[in-house]
Amino acid sequence: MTTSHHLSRRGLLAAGGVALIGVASGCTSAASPPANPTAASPLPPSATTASDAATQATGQDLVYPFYGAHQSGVETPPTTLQTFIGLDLIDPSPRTADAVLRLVSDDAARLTQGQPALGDTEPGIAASPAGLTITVGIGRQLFERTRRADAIPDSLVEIPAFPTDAFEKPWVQTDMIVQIASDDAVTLTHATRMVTKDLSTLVSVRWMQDGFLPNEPAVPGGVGRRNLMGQVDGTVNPEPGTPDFNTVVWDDSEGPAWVTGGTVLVLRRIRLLLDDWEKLDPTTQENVIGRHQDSGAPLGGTSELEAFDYEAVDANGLPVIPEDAHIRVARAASTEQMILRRPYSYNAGMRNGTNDMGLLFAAYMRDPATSYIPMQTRVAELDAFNRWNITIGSAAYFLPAGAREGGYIGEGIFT
Amino acid sequence: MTGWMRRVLVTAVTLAAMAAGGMALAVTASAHAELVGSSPADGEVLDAAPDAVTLSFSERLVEMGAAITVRGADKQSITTGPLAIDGFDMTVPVDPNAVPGTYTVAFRVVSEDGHTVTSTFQYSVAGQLPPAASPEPTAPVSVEPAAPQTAPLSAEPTPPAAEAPVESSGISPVVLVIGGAVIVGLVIVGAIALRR
Ligand code: HEM
Repeated sequence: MTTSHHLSRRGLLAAGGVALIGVASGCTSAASPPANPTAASPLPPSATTASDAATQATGQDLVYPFYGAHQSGVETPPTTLQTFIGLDLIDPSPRTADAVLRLVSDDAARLTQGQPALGDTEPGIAASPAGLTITVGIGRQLFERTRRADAIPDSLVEIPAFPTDAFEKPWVQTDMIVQIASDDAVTLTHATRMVTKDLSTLVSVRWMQDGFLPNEPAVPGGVGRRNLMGQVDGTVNPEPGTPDFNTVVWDDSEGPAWVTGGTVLVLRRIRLLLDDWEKLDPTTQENVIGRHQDSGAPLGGTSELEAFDYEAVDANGLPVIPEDAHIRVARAASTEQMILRRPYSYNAGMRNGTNDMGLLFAAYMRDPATSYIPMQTRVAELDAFNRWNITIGSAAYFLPAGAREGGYIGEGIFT
Repeated sequence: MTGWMRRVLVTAVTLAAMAAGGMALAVTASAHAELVGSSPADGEVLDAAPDAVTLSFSERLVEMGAAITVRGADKQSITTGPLAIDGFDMTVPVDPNAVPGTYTVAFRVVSEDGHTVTSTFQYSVAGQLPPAASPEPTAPVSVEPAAPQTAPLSAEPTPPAAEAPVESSGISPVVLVIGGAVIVGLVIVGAIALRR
């Protein structure tokens, strides 16, 4: 890392923190930021490139690439912890938006590789990335607020209202999202601290949503992990590294460089009505989902990943998986209609004398209009499971393509 | 009382209370919904095919996870429309022109207390199968091999669904009584000891 990187980064920080705020109010800054922040090249060279997609190290040293065709944090394996930060620009100008993208990218390029962020007072924490990924998304409203509505990717459609929506402040749409994931709580919190500290003069944070997963898949050789209802969740998903995954997740339109290789994130906050759920007998619970609680196998089956017929009937002609079971209603009829789910549990303390716990439903898809929206429409209308959960938040973002070596996420959107 | 004795007693009382709670739960669970009646009734022999089958339960039903089939010897369901749930009842329309024979009703319902009940029963429609040269030859009159079915069905239908009894949690009353007495005893002994 060279001195010029520090300087240019400082210049950018000053550009964010001083130029955009201070200059506007007429004060001249001793930091003398570059006239045009885009001229700066804030990012350090990195040992890891897109071609190194496979990581060597494990545990605390686990590193995922920052640069590459796609942002990390989507196709990379789910870490045990994940925080979503919803933020709004204080001054919604293209220049501020671009500065935010550069600042987050710079932090991400360093921290995800186990290097301290600039001005990092705790390099000891940074040295332990534990699979840290930092992923950035942009909401429709930021394009609109910065008068760049013409740049909105075709896939980033408005998510319609659904009959089951019961949103509560503050869990709704923000200008941007930063998703930070790691297997280590201190690492994740440190990265959260660095990013929000660096952006503090440019954005206001509307919400933070902390999610967690069990350390291991629920059954040996399986993929799903247990949620707070004890269900094995995350079984039916496109497999990373396969053509299906690309079809389901990555934008392949011939758009600008930041669009191709991006994806759409839909994040919903779903409170689980555990007091009522726990009164159900186990058979009813399993019928509501359509899978066995212990093994995660489809009803009537024995293993989580086995193939099965959703329409199968028993000896009496009754459907094995009830017609309104969650998996039968939500199921995608084709790869094109599928989504990638990375569901995380949340615990938000007590509320009205009971636990506010639930699911951060994070889904990634190439085109919500053909996948997520019809799926959620079916779920909202037909799913037996709706009685035991309530959707209290929802937001959607375009996650631009990964940064090219030396570049930053979202380069070219606001410049 | 010494500290450890007290701890032991507190533990015993807590355990007893927990066991009592668990048993209370088991008792509640065993009082779940069950089929209390139906039309046609279990084992009933009708002169004419019904146009609907109605099931009545001991608990209110929820519109969730419910399914029903009514099938004759050919295993084809004779339901003609979606099932409807109304309070304690579930109804499904069936083909009023169903041929004479024995019909098996299989169902799954969920009661308001979150219990799934699934079972079967049978009823019969008496009468003679239409002659082979039916005016509607395309209708699936019967898939049974022709000969034996020409005799009128006897008034003795299949015995009431012995093969698929309604599920129950099956805690014997004796266990409940003895268990309950033991727990009450423990709680009293513990409470007295603690008071000293
Ligand atoms: C509280 C909220 C939710 C919980 C606890 C939950 C839980 C589950 C569980 C346990 C499974 C079965 C295992 C698996 O394949 O992962 C599942 C499957 C699935 N869920 Fe959810 N889910 C929730 C909400 C949603 C929502 C809102 C959607 C989309 C609109 C959705 C879409 C799906 C899909 C597509 C599947 C796979 C279905 C299949 O193809 O078999 N889920 N969910």
